[in-house]
Parts: sequence; structure tokens; C-alpha cells
Amino acid sequence: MYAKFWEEQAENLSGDHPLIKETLRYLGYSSSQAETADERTLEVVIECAGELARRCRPRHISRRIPVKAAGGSRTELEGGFVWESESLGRALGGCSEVLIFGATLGVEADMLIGRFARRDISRAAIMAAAATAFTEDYCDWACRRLEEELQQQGHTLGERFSPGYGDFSLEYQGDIFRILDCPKNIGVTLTDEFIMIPSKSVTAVMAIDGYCGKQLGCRYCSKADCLYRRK
Amino acid sequence: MSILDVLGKRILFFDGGMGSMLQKKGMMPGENTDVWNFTRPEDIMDVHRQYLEAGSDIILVNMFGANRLKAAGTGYTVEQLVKQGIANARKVSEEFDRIVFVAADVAPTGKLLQPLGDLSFDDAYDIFKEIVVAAEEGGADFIHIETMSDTLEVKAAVLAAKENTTLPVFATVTFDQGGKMLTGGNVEAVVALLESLGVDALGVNCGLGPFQLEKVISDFLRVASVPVIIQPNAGLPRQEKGETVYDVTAEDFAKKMREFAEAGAWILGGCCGTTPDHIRCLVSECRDIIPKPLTDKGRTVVSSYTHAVEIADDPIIIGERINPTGKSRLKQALRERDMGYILQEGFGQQDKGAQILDINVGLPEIDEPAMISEVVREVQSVIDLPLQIDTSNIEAMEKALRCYNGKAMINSVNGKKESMEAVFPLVKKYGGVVVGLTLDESGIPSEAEGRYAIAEKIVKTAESYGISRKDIVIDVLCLTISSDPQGAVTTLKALQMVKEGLGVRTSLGVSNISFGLPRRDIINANFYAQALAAGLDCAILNTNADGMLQAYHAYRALTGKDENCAAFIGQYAGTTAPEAGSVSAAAAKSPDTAIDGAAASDLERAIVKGLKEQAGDIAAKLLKTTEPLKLINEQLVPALDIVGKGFEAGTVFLPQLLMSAEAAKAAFEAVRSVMGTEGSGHASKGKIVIATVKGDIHDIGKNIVKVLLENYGYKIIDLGKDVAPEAIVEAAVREDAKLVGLSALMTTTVGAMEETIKALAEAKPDCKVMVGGAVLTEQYAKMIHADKYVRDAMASVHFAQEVLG
Repeated sequence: MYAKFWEEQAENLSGDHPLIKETLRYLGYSSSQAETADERTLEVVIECAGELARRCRPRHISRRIPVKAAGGSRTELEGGFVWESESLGRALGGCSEVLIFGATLGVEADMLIGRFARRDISRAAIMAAAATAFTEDYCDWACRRLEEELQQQGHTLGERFSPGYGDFSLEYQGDIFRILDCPKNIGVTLTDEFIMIPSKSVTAVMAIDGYCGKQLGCRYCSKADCLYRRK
Repeated sequence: MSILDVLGKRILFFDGGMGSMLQKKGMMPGENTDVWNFTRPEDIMDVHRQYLEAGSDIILVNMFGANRLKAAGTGYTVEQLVKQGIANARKVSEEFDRIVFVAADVAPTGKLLQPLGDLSFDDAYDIFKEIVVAAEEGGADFIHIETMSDTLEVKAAVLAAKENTTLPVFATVTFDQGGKMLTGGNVEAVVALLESLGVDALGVNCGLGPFQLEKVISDFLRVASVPVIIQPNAGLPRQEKGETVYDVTAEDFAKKMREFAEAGAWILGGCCGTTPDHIRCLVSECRDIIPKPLTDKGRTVVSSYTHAVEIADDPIIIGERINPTGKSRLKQALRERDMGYILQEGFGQQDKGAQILDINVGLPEIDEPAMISEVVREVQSVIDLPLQIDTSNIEAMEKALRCYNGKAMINSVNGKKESMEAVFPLVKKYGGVVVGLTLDESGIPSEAEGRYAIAEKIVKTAESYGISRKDIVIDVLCLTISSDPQGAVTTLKALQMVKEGLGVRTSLGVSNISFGLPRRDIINANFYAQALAAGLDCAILNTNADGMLQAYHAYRALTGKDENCAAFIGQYAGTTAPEAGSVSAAAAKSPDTAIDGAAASDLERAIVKGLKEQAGDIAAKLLKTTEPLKLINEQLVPALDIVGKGFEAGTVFLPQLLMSAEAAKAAFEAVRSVMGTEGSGHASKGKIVIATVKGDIHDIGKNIVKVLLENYGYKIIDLGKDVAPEAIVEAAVREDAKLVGLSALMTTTVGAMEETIKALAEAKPDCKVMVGGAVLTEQYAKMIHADKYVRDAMASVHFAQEVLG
């Protein structure tokens, strides 16, 4: 399923494609300047993004887990997982069930970036930016499908909320990894410092039938000076 | 009774899924159910019992999570979990009045191995060793390594099992719908690797259902010469109301599996989602099938972590350029541990069409065992071609073979007793295709018959070590025609004799033929063409020699090996033959005329525009008349400054800055090659040690900083990523570096950065530290006592200029 999705993406990349615009944004071009990125840079960006789309084997996994108790900054899930985080509590909006989500572009993205880092650093930087844009896009794509499925059953799905957002500690990655068995299911592993490998990977918690709904986005992040913060 | 005694006499049946059965018994999300071996043994034994009642011959011990990483915090040791798991399985098996085999389940560590991940090969080996030793002590019948998705990890597991137990070893791996393992390996690559390591059976499990696995399984049966195991899932997993469900019914599963058994698979079972029902149907459907006899496919194959290269009727090019003999620039790179230069040689050869890369780092003044394993790892981290380990140092050969990710080509063994006694045990243990040189104690025979005799001795001796002749490639050697007029004739005759008489593949270092003659390229290319016509399978050659590549492409087109001449056309369409009198095709292709008689402004323009090839070419020309240092100071640095200022002003963006940096790098490389050959060393403005701190594996930012600092003339000692504080201190002290750059991307690794800064302040107080990375701020940098926070690569250049001038 996803393979076809990427094939289509790879064939249709142009300067106007949202993925290319997003890649340019990660490279420091503002949206107005993106249109003026010089022809040669744009050409290389499209080439790199195309190679990424052709090579990557993205995958994702999700699992519904009942919330046993929630209140204030404390969220307790079935299986004995207790998470202390005010911002997570807000994002979950008192839901009684969550969807735990994990996704990755796969090791190919890291391999490509690593290869170009030793060969042509400009392409490595462009690949890295494109990979970040692709990861977000893939997560959005996968979550839309999950949302549609839930909607058919009369549920709603909230926004992705990831460890590292607000006061939701990165340490809870360990729990998420146990719940999803990420190494086996999507090939993502976790270091002792809670860094995901492959690096272009995302985990998140989403409320099922929470009252917060959509559009939490960057507002929940405390890094106000972030270069990529969406207004 | 050993399972090997039964194997092939009848179809053997594994059990089915364990996890999905335990879920029904109330397994919680994320629970390590290996603990149930102690806490709920009856539940585990009940699952075993159900599978044995369904007809399984083999039950897999409940120990998928029994490794020291996953078992931490369970309150049990790996040894306890493994032994109790085996005891439970054994106890149930005794209830049955037939032969039941108890297989010790060796599962992935859950970590990715370096260089992609953070687990070292040696640590992975130790983790597996602990498991397999406990398994043998606990009385398991064999080691079953399964669900592996990385070739290097499965290699660590197989080596651990073979070196520390006497049990038979089976190994199965997991593929995705594209027919690849997680880290990119295809079926041929993994079969080459596992067979060369000497597993008793191999195959596929998990990941996909029997219908999606059709292609993968047919590939296994086509290439494998050892028994094949198939344990699919009951289809693809699907989420339904929060539960994972599988769709393939027991009947459909069994029918599909029957096809695989009829096609040649010997061992069948199920993985996730399969139940005792699936196994019951499977057994009744396939019990009467007589296993198809095993055939040795006789393929001569080497592999990398992604693909295999078969040495068959289509000739193979082995790139010879990573070999310091006669290459002063490479010697310098090896002495300086300049991996960047070595990798460029690798990339270049891959671009030119090399299918295998020769790796030779033999220099008298370096530690060859350490260097060759470092180079093998570095090359494999970015280039996916199989490698030829080229050394006469046996310790270096073993080190390289052990860390090599795949089945290597080994260069070489010869007919001397001493050589065969040293090399063959390594070939047997680690696998590989070994090149046998036809020389022995009395030298190189001058007659073809003499070389044939040595080749025969090599092949027979190898066979006495259990090495099949398909894993031997004979090099009949060539002596220059300038001293032996019959040199070429003898070589070609010996080549044909060896191919016909011994049935082995051949290799040749072609260019020796012309030693001592002018215009060696002419002789070499023509001799290569003759050797190809005589049946040469592999040639070790210089991929920069156009004549050789022309001979290769022409041969393939002329013999129908290049379908529709597609490769030839792809290579040469639109090119023209060099005009009479011109030196080489490369000169004819030299870039646009505007750069002829290049002025300083042309180099600057090329750098500012980020034109890599032009910048290198112009610099090379200018260096014929300009002092290297003058070129750097008056042209390279000013050009970089133009771009750097633009970047800081926001008119030049990161990609452009880096394209310019690459162009400047190409110009610098031209400078270095001039300085290197003059023996004047590399003029540097000072040394800077850079690293991504311990625990952090992000290095793109650090790599950008490195390229820019190099551009400005600093010598960079790049320690890589995930570097311990001690290693950084050691390098700073050893190199007497006055500046260290540290990078960290995550909040969780800033602690390691602080620790490093503290250690540096104690051990080398005169050394400044600059820090950068996504999570850092000016304030954060102060807090951890860094001397400078650098917000981007240009800022690091400015601080370097401040500290080092």
C-alpha cells in the first residue's frame, strides 16, 4: 500500500509540490523565498527528494490502549503505564482510550544521508531536510487512514502528541516502544538516551474521542524561538 | 537423536505463533512473557501441548525476549529464563510418545547494530553468546535463530552459536513486501551469508503471510544449497477494534504451504497469528510429501549487506584503487587515517561500474589488522558493493572477515603449504570466495601445466578443509611480456586449462602484463580483451583506465551478454572517439572552454557557484603555475568568504553554501595532491577535534561544520558520533588540539556534553570548546561551561579563526 503511495510521490515532484516546499522551509527558505530558490538548488532538491521517495520503505504501527485513569498531569494506561505530563493530559482531553502510533521512513533515509555526508555534504543536508518533510507527510497520511477507520466506527482521533513535546518526557519512549514492539514491527530501535534509530522516525499518542480535537500543533511546544515554529 | 538425522527423511513441522496464543491468555501490552516460564508455566506448557497435539515435531522455547537487554528489570537472569523455558518445553514433550525436538529460540536484540545503530558487533555477539551457552546447558536440541532483519546481527548470532556450542544451528530471517530485509538485504545476499557461515538450515519467518512470500520462497529454493525453513504469519496483520487480527484460514495456509513443500522446502511451521489449527491442517496436508532431494546449486557468490554478486558467465570488474602500492596520495591518506579520501576512491569506482571493491591497506608503518577492519567498516557504512579483503597478514584477514557484513571475496591464498594452512581455516569459518594464486614454494611456474598443477593442489587441499570448489577462484597470474615474451600466451593457456580441467572460476590482475613497457594502457586493454575471450571471469583493474572499460563493454556487447547493447549504449552514446594525437578521452571531455587559461576569477566563480568538477579542474591547472598557499589565500578563501557572508546576511541559503563548500573541497583536493607528492605535508592552520557526544547519533550538523572548517584550512580530527568523553580527551591531548567542537541534538545527551567539557578542562586546560546542535542555546552553553555557542557552521569558522587564527 505505502509503496505505491511513494511511487506516486516520486513521479510528481516539482517546485510546487508541498513536499518540496516543505523541504525548502527546513533548509531555511521562508515561504516567500521558496519561490525564488535558484533553479540549480531547486533541481538538486527535487532530485534528492525523488531518490528518497524511491528508496524509502516507510512503515507504521498503531495500537489502541484503554486509559484506566486520567486526571491533571497523570495518565494511566492499561498495562500499568503511568505517564506524568500536564501537556499530555491537556492534549488527551479526558479521553478513555488512546491510539499509540509509531512510524518511520526506515533505515534507507539514514543510509542515504550518511552516504552523501561522505560524498557531497550539500546533498546530505538537502536529503536530511527532505527526509524530515517526508516523515511528517507520511505520518499525516497514515494518521488520516487511521482516523477514517475510527470515524467509520463513530470515533474521533486527536492530534499526534509525541514524547519531547511540552513536559511529556522523552523517557516515556521506553513505554511506547514496549507497547508497540517497534523493533519487531517497524524496525525502529531506541538508544539508552531515548533516541530513535532510524532517526527519521516518530512516535505519538493520540486521543480517541478526546474533547480537544485538532489543531494543537506547535502551540503546545515550549520552544518559542524554534526556527520551524508554525504561526 | 539429532535433528540432523531426521532432516530430509520426512517433512518436519515447527509449531505456530506463541505471542498471539499468550494474548488470548491475558498478556498485557508490552509485557515480557518470558517471565511466565516461572510465573505461569502451565500457560506456556499448555501452548506447547496444543501444538504437539496438532502434530508439531519441533517446539520453540518461550524465550523470544530472553536477552540481557530485554530481560533487564524482570528480576530474572537470561540463564534462568532460558533454562526454565527449555525445562517447560522438555516436560511437555515427554508427555508424547514420539520424537519431539526442543529448539532454543534466539531472537533479535531489539537494537540496531553499528554503523546504523548503537550496538557494536562485539556486544551483540556477547548477548547471543550468553543465550546460546545457557541453551546448550539447558538441554536444547538445536539453536533456532529467527525473525532476524539485519544481516550483521544474524551473523553475530550464528558466530556466537557456532563458536560456543556444539548444537546444530538454524537461522531464519524476515522480509518485507519488497523482498528485502529491514537493512536492505535480499534473499540471495542472506543465503550467501548464512551458507558461508555454515548453518544447517535457513529460511524465512514472520513479516508476511504465505501468499505474499511466494517470490521470496522461490528465490530461496532457487539459490539455497542447504535445507529451507518456512514459517509465515497467518497473512498480514490488521487492526480490528484495537486487536491485531490475521486473515489466512488454517485450510488456505496449509494448501499454500503444500506448494512450497512440493517445490523443495523441508521444514514448515507458522509464525504470528498461526494457531494449533493452522499447524493441524498443515501437518495433515503436507505429512506425506517426500522431501525433494537437496542439490548443490554450485554458485560462486560473494555478497554485501544488500545484494549478492554471482561470479558466472558475465565478467566481473573488481576495482583495484583502494591499494596503496604506487599511490602516494592513498599512502598519505592511510597514514593520516583520512577515511574521506579512501571513500572517494570507493565512490568513484562504484560510479565507473566496479561490482566488487578490493581493499588493501598494507603499509609497513601502520597497524594493518586495526586499519583494515576500520576501512572495511567505513566503506560498508556508505557503499553497498561486496568487498575483496586483500592482505597477506593473517591476523588482518581474520579481523576483516569477522566484521565484514556479508560473504567476502578473499585475496588470497597460494600453493605454499604455509599459506593454505593459514588461510583455509579462516575461509571455512567465516565463509568467502578465496582467490588462489598459482605459485608455491618454487615460485611461479613458467609453463601453463605447472600453474595448472598448483591450481589443482589448491582446490584439492581446500576440499580437504570442507571448502567447496565453487568458493575458489583461481588466478593463474601474468608475468610481463617485457621479460617473458610468452607471458601472455602462457597465462591465457593456463586460464583455459584451469577452467576446463578444474571447473573453477578465474580472476586476473590484468595490468601486470605490460610492466616495463611504454603506453601500458594499450597492451593492458588488448590483453584484457583476449583474456575475456579466453573465459576470464573476474579482473582486478583500474576503473579509471578507459581502455579497460571499453574492452569490457565491447566484450559484453559482442558476446550477447549485454541485452540490446543497452549498457554499451548507455555508456558511450553521445561520446566521440578521441582525435588522433590527443592524449586521452578524458582530456577531450574537459569542460567548457571558458576555463582555458583560467584566471583567478574563474576559480572564485566556480566556487561561488558551487561547481564542483570545474573548481577541481581549474585548481589543478592553476597549480602548475601557482604556489599552493597562494592559491588558497588569494582565491579559495576569498571565494568562501563571499559565500559565507551571503549566508550570514540571509541572501545565500544552506544548500548553496554547502555546494560552494564542496567545490572548494575539490579545489583543496587538487592542492593536497600537489603538496602530497612534493612531500611537504599538509599546511594547516591548526587542528580541531570534532565529535558528536556520547549517546547521540545525529551527525549531519557536525559533518557540515567539518567540511566548512576544512575549507578554511584547518585540519579536522573527526571522531564521529556517539563518542565517549575519554576518547575526545584522548584525541585532544594526543593531537595537542587547541579547539574542540562538540555537537548534541537531544536534551538527553547534553549531559554527556557537559561531562566532556569538564573532562577536557581538567586534562587539557588550554583547549577551547565550542558547542552546537538543535537543543543548545547561548544560555545552555554557558551553563555547561562551553567557551562558545556556535549557532551555525559559519559561526564555528569565526570562532576557529578567533582561537587559531
